[in-house]
Amino acid sequence: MPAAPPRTRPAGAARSSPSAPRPGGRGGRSTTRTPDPRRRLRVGQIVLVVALLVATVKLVVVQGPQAGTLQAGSARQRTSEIALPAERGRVLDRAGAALAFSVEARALVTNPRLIATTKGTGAAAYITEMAATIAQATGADATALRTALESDKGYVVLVPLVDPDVARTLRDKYPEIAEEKRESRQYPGGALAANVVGVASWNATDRKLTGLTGLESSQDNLLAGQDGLQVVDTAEGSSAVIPGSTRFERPAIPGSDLELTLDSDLQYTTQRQLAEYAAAKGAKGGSAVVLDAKTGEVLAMANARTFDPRAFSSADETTLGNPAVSSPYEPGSVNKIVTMAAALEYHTAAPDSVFAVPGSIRVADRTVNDAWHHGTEPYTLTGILAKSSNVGTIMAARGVGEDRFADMLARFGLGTRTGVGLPGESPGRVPARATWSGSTFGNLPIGQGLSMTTLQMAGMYQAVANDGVRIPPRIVEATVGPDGVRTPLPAPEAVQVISPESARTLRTMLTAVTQDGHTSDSRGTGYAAAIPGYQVAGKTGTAQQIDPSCGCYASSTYWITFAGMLPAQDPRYVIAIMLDAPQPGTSAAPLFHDIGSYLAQREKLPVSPDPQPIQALVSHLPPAPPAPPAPPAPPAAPAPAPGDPAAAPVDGEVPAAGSPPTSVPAAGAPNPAPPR
Amino acid sequence: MSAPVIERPRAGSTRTATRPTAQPVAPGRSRPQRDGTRARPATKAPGRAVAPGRAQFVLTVMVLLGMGLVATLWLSTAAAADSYRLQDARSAARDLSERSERLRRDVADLHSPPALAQRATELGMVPAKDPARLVVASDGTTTVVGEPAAAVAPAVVAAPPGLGGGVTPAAPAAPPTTSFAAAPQAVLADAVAAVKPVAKEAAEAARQAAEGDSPDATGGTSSDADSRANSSADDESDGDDPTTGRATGTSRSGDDAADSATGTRRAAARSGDDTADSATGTRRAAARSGDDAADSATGTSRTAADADADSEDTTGAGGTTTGTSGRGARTTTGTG
Repeated sequence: MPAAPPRTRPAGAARSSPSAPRPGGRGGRSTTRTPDPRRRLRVGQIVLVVALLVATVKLVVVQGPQAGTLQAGSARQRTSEIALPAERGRVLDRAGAALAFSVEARALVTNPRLIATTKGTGAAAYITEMAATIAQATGADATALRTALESDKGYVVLVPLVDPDVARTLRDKYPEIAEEKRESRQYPGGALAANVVGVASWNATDRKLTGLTGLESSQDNLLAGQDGLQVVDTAEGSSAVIPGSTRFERPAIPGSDLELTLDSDLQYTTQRQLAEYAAAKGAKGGSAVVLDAKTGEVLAMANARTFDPRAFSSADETTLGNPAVSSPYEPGSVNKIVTMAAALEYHTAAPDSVFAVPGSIRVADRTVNDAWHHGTEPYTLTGILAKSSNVGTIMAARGVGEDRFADMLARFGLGTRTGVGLPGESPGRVPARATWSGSTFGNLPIGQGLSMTTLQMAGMYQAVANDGVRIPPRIVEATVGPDGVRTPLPAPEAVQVISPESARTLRTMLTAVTQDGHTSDSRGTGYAAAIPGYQVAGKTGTAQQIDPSCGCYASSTYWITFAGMLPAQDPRYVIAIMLDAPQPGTSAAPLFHDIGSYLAQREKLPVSPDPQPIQALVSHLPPAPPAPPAPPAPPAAPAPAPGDPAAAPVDGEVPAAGSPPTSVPAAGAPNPAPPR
Repeated sequence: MSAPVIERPRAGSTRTATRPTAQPVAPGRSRPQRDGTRARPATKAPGRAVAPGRAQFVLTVMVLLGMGLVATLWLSTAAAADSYRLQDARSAARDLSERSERLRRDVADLHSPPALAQRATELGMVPAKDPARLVVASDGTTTVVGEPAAAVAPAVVAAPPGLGGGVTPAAPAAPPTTSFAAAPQAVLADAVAAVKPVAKEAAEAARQAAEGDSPDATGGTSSDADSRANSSADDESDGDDPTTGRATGTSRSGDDAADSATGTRRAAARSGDDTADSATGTRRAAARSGDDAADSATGTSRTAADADADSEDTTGAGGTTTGTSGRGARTTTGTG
């Protein structure tokens, strides 16, 4: 192409020719100029071709090797990725009432430096007015706002969580204020189930709510959902999206809701009564668990020391955990049901079997005493349980044997986590059978030397309440996905701990603990737990705490426990309570009564058709028609004749009736002597 | 540089070239001018025959263009107007969603057990300890289970953190603790008198309830009767003695957290309509609408037929009555 035009250029040449007269007087020049047009053309040609080549080369370079980087650079300039925040799921109680949910909120941020420079001398007055207005609108502290506004910073958060409309009004009024989208977590119940639900708070790095404790933390992935992403073009220097420039969009997937088995009202009452009782009794702490007897669902889980998630920043750190599942303790006599269950299950004793129980018993190198001084007394098995005789329990445990006892401990779920679904769950500690020393078997039956959580304790009694079938407790009932599909959690595997007959018999025996025959021989240790109109089965417990200074059992601090069920014939609720080091002489039975009485009123439990029977605790009581049903099968072991005070079902050493109680505990050695 | 020089002749040549070639077309262009004056005579030429059609065509095009212009104007105006409306609607929707969010939060706050307990305390309610219960046998005889005793406001206790304020013992105008100790028989008689007129009606209702769909419910206290009886007893006995069978409760629809705040004598009548209004003076009936009560088909039974006969017994016993009617899903705990 470029070659063609010169030939057809006569007109152009003609036009230029007058200015360059060939026959001009400037001879020398004219001679040199003679080939001029051509040369110029040639030069022009060359220049053009070179320019074109350069352009071509550049074109190839730009379109080829540099294409990627340039494209990326341009994309960087205009493309922005906008995260679409996913709404965090709610935490609901069993009735669907929210224990935690999220609402949209805004953070008010500003640039104090900019205010100072733009307002100049008027800045101080402006800041004062601004701080006052914001404080009035949001309830924030005006002086703190002023301090923030006067600071020499490029970015301060004035108020972290403000309602969107309030934020908009303030921003309209003060253009220096900018909004930031946030999500505010609401806990309408305050401390209600705070130790279970936990806390989620705004995480500035991830720009989303993040769980810090409790279920909010352990179920964070489920609750948080998945943020969406939108890739759009924006005008440079602003966040205005150019319409129609959306390149990619992945919608946010909201978090799933978590349905708990908790019952808010019961939770509130339990929490409150426990806290009040613990405070009144000077306890360091305590926990209480209410289970549904049939399903093992956790209806309430309370800790005496708790916190308000709405004031999380000022909460005491030691109150944030959930001791009901994370802090095992030695349960004390509550653990005696293991021995009793085993004795009934293996028919080594019947409720009315009579044991000649001395005041103390030697186990290997230790001596175990009863909590009260007595000579050899003819207690029935029921009496041993109701009076919480350590000596009698160890005698009964010997009849069961160590292996069967160890097996029964495992079947009751001790030493293994329940899998309740809460973070930080402790399995408790049960010494392995192989590591047992001679005295171990003197400790475990009476609830010392092993530890369990309040939840495990409740689980043990749930097995007795549910005809021997232990259903590991669960606190998360179901998850409700963003699509509204409800997914119930898989049911835990039930464990048949003892036979239904043994469980029934054991329940009747446990009612003797709460009976009050108005004589010391017929009063159980937990008579304060009785609820008028109902039969209550339960067991008190007292365990010595370990004194960290000497590594021995302390003589003045105890774990006070109570576990029981209501109503005894057909239990619907299992309540387990632990108080940590209350005043001496405290019993947890009155608290059981309070919670049980509330449940009976609220759930309108039918009044027991029969009054609670008074069972014979000591065999020589004259009116002793054995209230519990007869053992389902003839005992395998040689059954002692009821009423025979000398009969002892256990082999081995049975202290003679007259043997003096040798109550000489070895100093520094474990000396468990729970007073009932 | 040289390009304009090159092109100029070309452009010139094309310009000159078009002039001759345009000649045949030019008449066509100029024809419409003639069309108006002498279109008909010009029909002879084949080109001229098209003339009227062209005029129409041009007119059509012009009209179309005009219409297009108008439509464009109209559409853009409408779009602009709509965009304002859209903006308004958006901001209204945003405001509403924010409002709903806030209301949701308020409801959740007020709905929570601590808030309810707080409100109940402010109303002067105290938690009932062990209530005495009336067990009605199938033959109509009743036995009192437990010792009827007035609920006493607990001393101020420090509430656990975050569970609402401490329980402040309410100081209601009428002392809540004197219902039995101080209320003499005369007052009870008043109440009986008040109850009797409605007892028949109540018995009917209770009978229906008992004969309904829960045979094992074994009747139940005439809850309907009681709730009405409460109302009427209010009317009559309020003036006489404020201590008469003080019943405190709470009225609330929907879910049922309010039970945590039980009253001294709680008349928790679950019925949709009539009882809430009786929350006057010394008696407050807690009306609960809802349908969740039928589960407690309790053994504290009482046949409906006995309702009127027993109303006197009930009152005389001076106990707290708890009963459940099978179908009615209404329970009354109250004192006569």
